[in-house]
Amino acid sequence: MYLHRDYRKTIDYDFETNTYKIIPYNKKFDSLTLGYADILNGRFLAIVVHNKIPYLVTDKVQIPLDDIKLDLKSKDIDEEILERKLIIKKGFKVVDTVEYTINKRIITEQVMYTEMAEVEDWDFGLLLINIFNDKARLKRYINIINNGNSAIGLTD
Amino acid sequence: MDFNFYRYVGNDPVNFLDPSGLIVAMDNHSTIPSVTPTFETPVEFLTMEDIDPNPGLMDVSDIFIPISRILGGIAKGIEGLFKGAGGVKVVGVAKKVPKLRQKYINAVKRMCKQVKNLRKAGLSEEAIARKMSAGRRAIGKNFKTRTPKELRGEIYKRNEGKYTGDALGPTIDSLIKKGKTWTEIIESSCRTGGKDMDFTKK
Repeated sequence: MYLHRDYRKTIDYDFETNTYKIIPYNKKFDSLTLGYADILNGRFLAIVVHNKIPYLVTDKVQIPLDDIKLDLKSKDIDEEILERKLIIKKGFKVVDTVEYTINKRIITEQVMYTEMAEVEDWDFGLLLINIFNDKARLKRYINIINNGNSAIGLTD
Repeated sequence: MDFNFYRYVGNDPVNFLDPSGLIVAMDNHSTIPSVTPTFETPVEFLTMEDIDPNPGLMDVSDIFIPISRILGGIAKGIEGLFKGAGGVKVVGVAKKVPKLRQKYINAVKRMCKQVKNLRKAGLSEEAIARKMSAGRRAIGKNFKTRTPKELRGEIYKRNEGKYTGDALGPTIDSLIKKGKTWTEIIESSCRTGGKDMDFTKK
């Protein structure tokens, strides 16, 4: 499984036990679950395809995508640090909340002068919100994962 | 009704210009008034040569609003500048672009203006994509050298992780591997990005 923040690493994810290991990109992993993940403030968050069904997964919950609604709240901590809160809902019920921080200054500089870079490249919660808000894009991502291409990234 | 025709340039049409209606820019020969606003991040004023004569080509929401939000306090600082200079509160100058970012955007746009002519000249999409990608990387490299050293080191480190060892960003080979078409590479080479840089997702 692909690690959003660092393409040189990958994630060996076991869907049955909902556990993961971060391993170097070139090392073989045991699991066949494909997907795209990040670790936000110590919390595991991923979009995966298991038995051909796409799920949103955290270290606490595994929910089929068609059941999910996401919400992202932001709060300035100071001039540089922004706190994000990703709220995961199943129907109207909040099933999990993932809180993390990002550095606005670094991301800004990164995005400003890097070819094809966007804030979502450095903010997995934002990436999820963006793809969930765009059905065609979400479908494309799931297809990419399903076709086993998650190891080379989900750039669309 | 407001009959102050120079409000948009802080009541100072001699030293300031605003051809786009979005940015207050100083004339090339002007100097900044001797009032020093307190900026968290250094901000330079745009000169006329930095401003694109055709703002219609620019994605305003992509550029102006986010930057002003990121560099919080700039609008207040600018306002303070004008207050100090003329004792007048300026309305509508809150959206500023750091000079360096604007120069970068202009450089990318200048490069991408070639695409149409290259196609007319019969160059293949692959040749154009390679040219644009290389050009874009060169522009990025040039501008990154102007980023403070400490921050640049952090950015390069992040890029190396993100783009499997390349400090500057995705290479054309990596884009091809990801299944991008030549036309998509041309398009993405001409995008300056930053659609979420206002960080206001709530």
